[in-house]
Amino acid sequence: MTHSAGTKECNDKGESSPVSEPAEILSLLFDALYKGKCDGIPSNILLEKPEREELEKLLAYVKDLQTGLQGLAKGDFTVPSRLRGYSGGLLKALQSNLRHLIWKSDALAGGNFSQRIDFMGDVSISFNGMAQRLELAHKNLTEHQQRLELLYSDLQQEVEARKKVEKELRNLATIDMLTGIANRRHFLQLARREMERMRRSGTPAALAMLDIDRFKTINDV
Amino acid sequence: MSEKRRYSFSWDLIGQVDARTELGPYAGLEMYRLMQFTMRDILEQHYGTETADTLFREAGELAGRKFFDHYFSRDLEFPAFVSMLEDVFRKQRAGIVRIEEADLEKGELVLSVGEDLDCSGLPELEHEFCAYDEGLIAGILMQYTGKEVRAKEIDCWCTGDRTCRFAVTISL
Ligand SMILES: [Zn+2]
Repeated sequence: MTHSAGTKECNDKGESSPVSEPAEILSLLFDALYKGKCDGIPSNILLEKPEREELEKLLAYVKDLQTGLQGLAKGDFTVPSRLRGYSGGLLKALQSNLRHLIWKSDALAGGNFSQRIDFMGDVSISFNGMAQRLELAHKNLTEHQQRLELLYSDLQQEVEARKKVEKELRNLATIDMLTGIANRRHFLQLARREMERMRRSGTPAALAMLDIDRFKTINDV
Repeated sequence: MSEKRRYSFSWDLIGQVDARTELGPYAGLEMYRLMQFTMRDILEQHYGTETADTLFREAGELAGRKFFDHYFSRDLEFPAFVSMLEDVFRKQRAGIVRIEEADLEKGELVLSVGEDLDCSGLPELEHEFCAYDEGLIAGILMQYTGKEVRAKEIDCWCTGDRTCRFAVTISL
């Protein structure tokens, strides 16, 4: 940018003061928008107070917009709240969409698979597709788990039933049904084991015999 | 209020919305806004700006509570409640609700309402406009959480933002 040659204009008091050419101001604005240079009005630009204020306002607005866009580019979606107006509104709408998308993704990650979105074109198509597939996968997994739980409980019941039958069979082989004490076969097994123990250790053993009178009448019932 | 009430609101007063066989249940945005904004005008003339806003906010809050009772239940998990809220707002053509942040433990929530019934497309003003919506949102969340809720509009179509954004605080 060339240094201002300045045109002479008159202020309120009739005194003339140098004012920059419009081309210089446009160039400053272009630099602000294109190169991101919007840190105030450089000293070579000369303006009357109201024009200077307007230009400062414009540069500050561009700067805020660029800060917001920079944030977006870096993944910072906080909204610069003083940013107003149409362009600011568009930026805020985008930020709002992205923040909402993050919230929806968090809800999805938290297990709420019914979340869907309806904005930002392709993003919503792929988000909803993902959510739908997750929902289906989750449903299938839940059903699978329920089936497994059912199978497991069936299996447990089966094991319990078998244990019961085994116990009954064992009782049948060793116990006398009428009296509930060891039957002859079981008694002989136990006696044989005891006699072997006596032989091994050389210690004695005792055998008590009980005779119940007229037991035959019970036995015959 | 000592005198007998005539206009105490109940959902029955809305009547049968499917009764209009020719015109159906929806009315134009112009008519809705005409009614709301003329009412606001008269309230402001009678009671001043601040009171008019307070009355609007309170009416919104009552609407929010009744709206919640009619459509929702407290048993809903928060994400499911939000999904339903989005649906009902969309079906009622009231706006496009989007939660941006929600930390219920801290009692903080930020949500935006796109294409808001009250203010979308309005000319730009120097101030946020949607006092009724502030009340409505607070009322809905009040009923859902069972706590005191305050909603403040931080961005509005009327301040050039193209969408309305509300910061909500739930007193814990
Ligand atoms: Zn608004």
